Amino acid sequence: MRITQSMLSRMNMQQLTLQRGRLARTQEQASTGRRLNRPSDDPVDFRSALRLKDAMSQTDRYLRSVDLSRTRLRASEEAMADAMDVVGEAQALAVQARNSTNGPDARAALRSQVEQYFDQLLDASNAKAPGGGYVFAGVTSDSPAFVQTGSFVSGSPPPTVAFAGDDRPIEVEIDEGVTIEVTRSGQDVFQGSVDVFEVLGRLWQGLDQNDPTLIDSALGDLDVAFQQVNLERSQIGGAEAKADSFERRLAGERDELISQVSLLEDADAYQVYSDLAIQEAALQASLEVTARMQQPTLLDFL
Amino acid sequence: MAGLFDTLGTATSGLRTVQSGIATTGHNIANADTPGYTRQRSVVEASLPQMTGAGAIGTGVEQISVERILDRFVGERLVRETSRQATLDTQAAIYRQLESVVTSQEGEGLAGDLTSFFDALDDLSNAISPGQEAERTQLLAAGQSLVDSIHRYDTQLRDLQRGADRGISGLLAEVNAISAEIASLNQKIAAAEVTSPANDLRDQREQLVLALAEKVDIALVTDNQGMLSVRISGGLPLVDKDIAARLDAVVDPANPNPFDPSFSQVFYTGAGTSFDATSLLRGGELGGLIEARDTIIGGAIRELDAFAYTVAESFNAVHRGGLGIVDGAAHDFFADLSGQASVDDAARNFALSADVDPAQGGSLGNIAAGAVANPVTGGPEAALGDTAWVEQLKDLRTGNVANYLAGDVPGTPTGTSTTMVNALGRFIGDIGQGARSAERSLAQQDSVLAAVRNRRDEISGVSIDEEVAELVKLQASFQANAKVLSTISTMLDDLFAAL
Repeated sequence: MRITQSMLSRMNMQQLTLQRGRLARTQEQASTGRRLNRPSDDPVDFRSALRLKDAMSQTDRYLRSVDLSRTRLRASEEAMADAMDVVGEAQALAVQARNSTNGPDARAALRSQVEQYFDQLLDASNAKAPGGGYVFAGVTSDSPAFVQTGSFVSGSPPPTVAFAGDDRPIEVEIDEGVTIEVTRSGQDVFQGSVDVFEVLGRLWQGLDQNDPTLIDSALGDLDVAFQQVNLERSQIGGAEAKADSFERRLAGERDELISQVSLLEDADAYQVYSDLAIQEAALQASLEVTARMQQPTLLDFL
Repeated sequence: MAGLFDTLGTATSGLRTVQSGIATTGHNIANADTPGYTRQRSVVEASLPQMTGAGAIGTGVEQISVERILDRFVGERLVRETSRQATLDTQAAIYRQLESVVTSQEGEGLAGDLTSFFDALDDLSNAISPGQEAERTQLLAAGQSLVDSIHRYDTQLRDLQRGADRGISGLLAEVNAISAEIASLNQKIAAAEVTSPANDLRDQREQLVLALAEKVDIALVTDNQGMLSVRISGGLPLVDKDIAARLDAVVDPANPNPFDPSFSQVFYTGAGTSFDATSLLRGGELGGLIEARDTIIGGAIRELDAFAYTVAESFNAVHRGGLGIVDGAAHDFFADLSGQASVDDAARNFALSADVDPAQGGSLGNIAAGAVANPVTGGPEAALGDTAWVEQLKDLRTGNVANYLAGDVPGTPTGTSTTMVNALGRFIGDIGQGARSAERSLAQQDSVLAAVRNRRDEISGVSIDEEVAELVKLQASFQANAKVLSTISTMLDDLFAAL
């Protein structure tokens, strides 16, 4: 084989270009810390990473949903706790009203106390979530869930309260295909088997008319009302427990996704640095060889 | 029997031949680094002997010619591989730019925008405040980002395509200049070779042929006068002896480019005809650029179109099933593109619908978050707190949707249904796959071309060692011939002295 000067310089240049190219690629991996810097680095892995990153973002959103649903659950729970307080106090008042002989003044005082309980109950039933709408109004959360008709006037029937909202609970998705109810139906809570407003009204009417039978029946129904609100409140507790358990699962899922994405995208640091060292040495050797291109020819010996 | 004077002639012929040998060697050394130079060799043979009674007596040496040392097949391979390398080099460069369009953007580019859009939907479904004004605004903004991103991709791809189109016009001027030069060299060579081979003119012509091969794939035919005819793929003569044809960039209104009517076609003008030869041109930078413009970049634009159409159509289809808080009518979220003849240009026409975009006179309230008509007022619109339909919209994130492919007709998607993220992944992945294989083919072709060039240099390149050795040999030969001359001279002196 004839070897000519142009062949030698071409082969050297070709080697240098090749090694510089390889080194540039490794340096890019070292400086970005990523194995996938563009789709062509590994088209299949790039597509998988795209999908996994979207799933990661979605898991983040589910975690946010869990957080937000807690706010709403807490708002409902607090309102129901308030309602139970009111019902409990009304029970105590009813017992007191029945057990002692009350004069007209004392009865009037108890009556106005019941009126206050009634207002407090209405407030609780029309509670709002922080930054949001009426928690017991369902989808029509922009308008109050319960509307009062009439007022307390001695000698007249007590006012009535009607449900003005939508009685379907609102559901929030906290994982793919998994939802929790973040509100309870206002109707079930306050006007389920007994209408709590009506019971309080009946107690007021018993006091107004000094009718122990009415007070007795109201006392009995207050107990049912207490159980009714308590049952709904425990459902909230159940939803919260579900939210907690999914939060743990989602956090685990997210960690898993992060490590999967990292596995696809991130460069193996040890591999990269050892490649870097090897390729730098190889380049240096090539450069030295090229520098010696000024090799002797026959001329040097004549 | 030959006389002393005849032998004097023999020695002189030796000196003359040695001198021209040194000239050839000197020429080789001088051109050792000239690109495309083919080493030359002086061809000599013994001159006709003188016939005597004692037999044939030599009369010296004669130079027949100076010839180039080359292998025609290696030359032809070099032309072919040069063309191929230029095509792959052009395409790899185009793919690198295509890749930068889909990766160099802030954040995660289009994929990030798609993710943000669905994240905004999540926020809407979690909204607490009745009417969800903030969340609706945010969703619209995320939709707008998606629209802007697709438009940016589309614009950048089309800019790239326009660059390729300009490149085609620029290349044609170079091709025409080279063909004209080859035609004129053909003439000179034919004139010069009446007497002897025009070695250096032929070297020049071979360099021009290689330069032409870089631009476009060619085939070569040499006639017996030494004229070279160059044909482009399909057999069209680009140079026929001393006549060069022309290739011109022409905007043909009768046959406009489907991407942009201002793009040029390549017209061939020669042998009394002129016609559109775009589809006949293959190989070289020109073939590479034409393929890049119409197939590679064009294909990416069409895939983006298909993706944009898939997003608009599948999202709208679900969106129309929900209810806004303004009226009970069905509304689009993205502009309805189903009236197009095909999904082509969907990326360019992709936009928010006028129904939901306040900037176009629409209302945020038309975003269909609600599932049922207001249960309390009995009105046809959804209640303010109703976000149940958003769950249906959110399902589009992981659910399969009707998948449109490039060139599909609205209403009849031909792709296997897939998720939007996967459809986007296919668009980006195809570019990545193309870039990867273009880069690999180029690397392979680079080494093939280097091997062919080395093979050419092995045969035709100048080796300094060889030339210097030749020089030493010729010098000795010169001295020997001179010795013969001086010997005869002494003999003649002796003869003259004896007289």
